[in-house]
Amino acid sequence: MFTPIIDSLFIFSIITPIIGFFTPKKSSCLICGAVSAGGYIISMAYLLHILPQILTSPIRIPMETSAVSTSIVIDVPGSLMSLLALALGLFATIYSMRFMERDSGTPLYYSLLMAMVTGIVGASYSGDLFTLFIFWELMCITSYVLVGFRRNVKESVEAAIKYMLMSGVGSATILFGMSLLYGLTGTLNLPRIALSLKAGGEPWLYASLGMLITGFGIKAAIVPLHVWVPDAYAAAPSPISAIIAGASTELAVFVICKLLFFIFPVIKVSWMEFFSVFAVLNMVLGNIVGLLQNDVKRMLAYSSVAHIGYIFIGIAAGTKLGLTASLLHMFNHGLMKALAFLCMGAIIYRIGSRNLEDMAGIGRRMPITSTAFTIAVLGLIGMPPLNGFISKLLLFMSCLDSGMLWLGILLIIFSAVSTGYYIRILKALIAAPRDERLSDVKEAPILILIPICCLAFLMILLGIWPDPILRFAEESSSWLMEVGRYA
Amino acid sequence: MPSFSAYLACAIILYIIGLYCLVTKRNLIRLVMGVEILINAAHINFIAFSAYWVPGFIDPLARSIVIVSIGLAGCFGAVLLSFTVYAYRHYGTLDVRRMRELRG
Repeated sequence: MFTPIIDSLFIFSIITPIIGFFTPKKSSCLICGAVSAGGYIISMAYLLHILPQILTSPIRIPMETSAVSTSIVIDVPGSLMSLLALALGLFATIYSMRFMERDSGTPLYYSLLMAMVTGIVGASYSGDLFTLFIFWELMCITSYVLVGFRRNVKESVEAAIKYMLMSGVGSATILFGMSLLYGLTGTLNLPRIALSLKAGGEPWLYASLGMLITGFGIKAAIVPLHVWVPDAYAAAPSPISAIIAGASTELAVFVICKLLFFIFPVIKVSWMEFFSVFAVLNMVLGNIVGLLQNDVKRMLAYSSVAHIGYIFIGIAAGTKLGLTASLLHMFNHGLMKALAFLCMGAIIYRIGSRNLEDMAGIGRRMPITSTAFTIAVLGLIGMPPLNGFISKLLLFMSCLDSGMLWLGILLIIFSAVSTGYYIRILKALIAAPRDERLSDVKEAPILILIPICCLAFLMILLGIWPDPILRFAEESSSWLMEVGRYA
Repeated sequence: MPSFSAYLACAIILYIIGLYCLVTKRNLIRLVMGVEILINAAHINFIAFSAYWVPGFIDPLARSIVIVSIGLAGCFGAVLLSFTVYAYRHYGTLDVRRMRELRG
């Protein structure tokens, strides 16, 4: 159909509910989880198998490029994004095998989760705006259902409705922006648009750019449009929060990067200031409002808003180093935030509360989860042996490189401010248990611990040996910056 | 036959009507209609541009993206309306301003 990477995800997302129909209800959560985990593993194995070939030249499907045919281009930047999405999808699936066992309809849950990852992978590989829009909508519509999956809980229905209304406006705005771009160039193919836009900035081009950035910015949580983020992250099941925070927001930022460096290099001068303003707004609001929260999942959601601000710093710098730093921080933030949400989910699974006060002293009862949570939080702060440090250092260097020292200083100041609420989480983890309620809490089950330990190990590994992922990000940014290599 | 810019103006007016509906209305079903109006504005734009570039030739690419997108808009409407049913069961009302379980 398309490529084995996307096909295996599609096929497994169709057969998972069929298998779930024939298995007894008691064990369907485990069996369907194992089946869909197999789909992720096949797809990831094929991606790793063809990775050396991708590094030399991108693979096009279908091969001929006429103006009408739509295409999927398997290239280096898309591989970086889809590797993150596939890894997080696999971990979330293994995690859900125990986490979702009390819910009904789990075969459909795995199917929707897989369709969402398919949307992320397909959108990151899309070579034209048509394919991008279809896979984008696939990701959006499945994520709405997953956020409101516990339909008998009041707050999850409310969060899903808030999320749908904002994100639906975003999708419509994206479609309108695409139609303007189509009207300007007569094609939807990305390299062709890039070639035919060389003429210069007309007012309609600015309108189209504004609409596309607004539409994708709703998903990426740019500050005036971030209202759905804390509600949706807090009300969704934890593996879903992990994958929305770790892969879907990252995809939106990735698409913004791709469009900016691909289609709009003509008007480069004006968007650098524009994005530095957004970066500052995101950092200020995310970190200050994060300090006021008591619900840990909302706190992590605001920290996500702040981290989107850090990623925008690299885009605002506009150089190759800046784009490398942005892509690297995107990857690292996906790992860190997913780990933090999964650890929080393990704690919710045992104590049934999201409140910071209720989890005081949990470190004595759940040592492995708490250690992993500490690693995630230290990574989000940017402590040296972890992967968050490397990408923040690169972001700071890219600021110096392009003469925006003030932005780099703000990055350091707001990282320090953010330590204020991360320290509260750490304090709650290591405090002495206060009440008797926690005395019979045990360590999380093994299927929940496996993905947590894998992610924590990956964070430490990429922190002390960042070379492969750094070169991957560098190669991606050089592909994004030279449109001519695609033609 | 109306000129090309009439179609563009029509699309932009529809977009503004959709946004106005989303900002002022409180009933959830009206909000669903607002989002659908926004999507249809983009569809009209695509169809108008498909006949703009080469006189006498209509680009099939724009037609196909509109047809696919109508299907996607239908999916969106179905999901949002089914959540509306659940919201009505929980809250007993369709007024979005009275759904304040989560503090923003």
